[in-house]
Amino acid sequence: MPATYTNLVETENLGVEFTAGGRVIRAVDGVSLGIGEGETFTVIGESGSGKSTLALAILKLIKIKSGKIFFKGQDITKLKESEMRSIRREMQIVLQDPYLSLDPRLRVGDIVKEPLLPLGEKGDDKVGEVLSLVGLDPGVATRFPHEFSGGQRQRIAIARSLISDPKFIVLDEPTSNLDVSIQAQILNLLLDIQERRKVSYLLITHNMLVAKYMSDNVAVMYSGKIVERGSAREVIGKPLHPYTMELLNVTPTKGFMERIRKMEFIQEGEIPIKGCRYANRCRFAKEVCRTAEPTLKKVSQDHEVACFLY
Amino acid sequence: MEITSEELTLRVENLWVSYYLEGKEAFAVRDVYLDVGKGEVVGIVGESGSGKSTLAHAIIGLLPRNSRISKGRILFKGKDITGIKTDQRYLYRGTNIFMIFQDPMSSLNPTMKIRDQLQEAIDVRLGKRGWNIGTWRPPKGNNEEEIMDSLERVGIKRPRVIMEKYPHQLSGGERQRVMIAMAYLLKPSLLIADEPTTALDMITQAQVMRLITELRESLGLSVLFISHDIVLVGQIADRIVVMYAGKAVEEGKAEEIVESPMHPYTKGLINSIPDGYKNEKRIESIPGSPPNILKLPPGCSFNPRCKFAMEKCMSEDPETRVLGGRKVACHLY
Repeated sequence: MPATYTNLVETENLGVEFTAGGRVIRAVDGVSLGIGEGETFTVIGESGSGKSTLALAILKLIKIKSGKIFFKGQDITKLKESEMRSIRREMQIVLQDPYLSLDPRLRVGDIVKEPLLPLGEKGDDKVGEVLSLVGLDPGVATRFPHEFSGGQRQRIAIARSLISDPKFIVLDEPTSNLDVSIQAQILNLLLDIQERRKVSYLLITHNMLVAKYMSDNVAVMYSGKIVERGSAREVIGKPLHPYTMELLNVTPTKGFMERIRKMEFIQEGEIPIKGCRYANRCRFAKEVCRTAEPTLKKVSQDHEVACFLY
Repeated sequence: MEITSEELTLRVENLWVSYYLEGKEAFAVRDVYLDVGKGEVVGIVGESGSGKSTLAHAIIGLLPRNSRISKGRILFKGKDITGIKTDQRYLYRGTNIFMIFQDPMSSLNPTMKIRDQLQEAIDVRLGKRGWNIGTWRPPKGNNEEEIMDSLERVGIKRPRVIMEKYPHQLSGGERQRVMIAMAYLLKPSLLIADEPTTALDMITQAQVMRLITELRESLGLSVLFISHDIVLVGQIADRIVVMYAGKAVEEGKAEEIVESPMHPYTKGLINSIPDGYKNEKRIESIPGSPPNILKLPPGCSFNPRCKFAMEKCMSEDPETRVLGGRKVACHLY
């Protein structure tokens, strides 16, 4: 067992494929990344970019086609589910829709305890602790999910993710279904939990403001590939890839209407088989973009981009 | 004072809307006044449960059976439409007041091709169909070119292909575009957009926002834009009304509200938007959650969540005061 590791979670050339209508879709294609202890690593992209698939693959919840996954330095790619059990307690997930992710027939206490079931632990003593940690009264354990608002339900889902003392939590669009006022509460709660428990987050979001506020490092994903990555300050502050720029332009901040009026929305055509996958949508696409595929290139200490402009 | 139809598209006066819940009458909209001028975009902002959607449903006449307008008037182009009978509603819906919802799937008919639904809109506009819309019948006309044109205007590149599809075969963004194409065909004078982009991702949201702006400019219509995101609303609206627990707590010019909010609730909504990088300043969220309309706190409904709450706020509901071009209901002013 390797006792030393630099990153808590690492992937090496990870690939996931789906077959749909006889065609093979590379939902995640050659993704390598590292998530340090206690840091937030955020994957930014639109629907269909493969960001959620990537998260599920890292948790080994879907079939992996190629590449490797390391957790605490150990290669877990080929581990059987029985061997994964002790590792599973250290990885958790919070899903987007707390109306779907909580079993309506279970009491809150039982929902929160669920991750401990396969480990053969009761966890009754811990329920109150995690509920208070997420800002709920421990007394809510006897109530049912329908008695709670969306924000409170998401707190319950977060409490559930904390009960097994995980080191790593996937947050898959945790605030996309919430009002901005409630989103702010949940984001701050997640930051507090990270400070107290030193957990690492893999945050999946399409919202640049959320990514900026939450992340140490970010990766921008387009059509299964990472097109730009680095520290949040580098990538969001000095975006290089035309796709990252597009995502920032459509963020509703000051000057939004003027920006989107000027923008040329190129409707997504087929993803090109050859060359850069973004080429059909790119304002700057050159000859080379249609023939060769760019790879990630280091442009500064904390910044890599896969684009022929650089 | 009688309003002429040219000046105001919509006027809502002293509106109270109630629901019968658990054997009691609870008010979801309380004493709301609202004016929407010709060509004006008015944003309604508030959290879930603030009454913003109930207000919209009251205007277009889609309140559920356990709900009613208990007081007040709704004037559309100067004509009182508050008590209008259900079988007369079609005279206003679609051709006069058009509404798009968060989930376009629920406004499109899943059993009809896009072509037939858009043809239906044309038939309604031309008065060839009235009351019984939404059930498939042989179309009255064949306005294929107009349908194609409307789809092209909302940025659909292959209208001929989309036309022959059913709603479930389209993406969320495409469905919302079809709804906007329908507005081009119906040519209403008021568009109510209830969280039209909440279910969409950022790029599609930006496209829909632009299409709504283009629609407004092209038809010269008035828009009532409803959302929980005050910054987004601030970008499209001329004026903003902030609602809390059924009441309009602040109203003013959009940029003034976003730049210098007065009501603590409005401030909270603006401060809730993530701003800055990790480890910089924490954003300030509004604590707690919106009240249950069955159990409104005494005094100002916002007092349990307000950090400026004073003794007066616990017992006395603040009156709406006019300060410059701003209306605000708060004891601080």
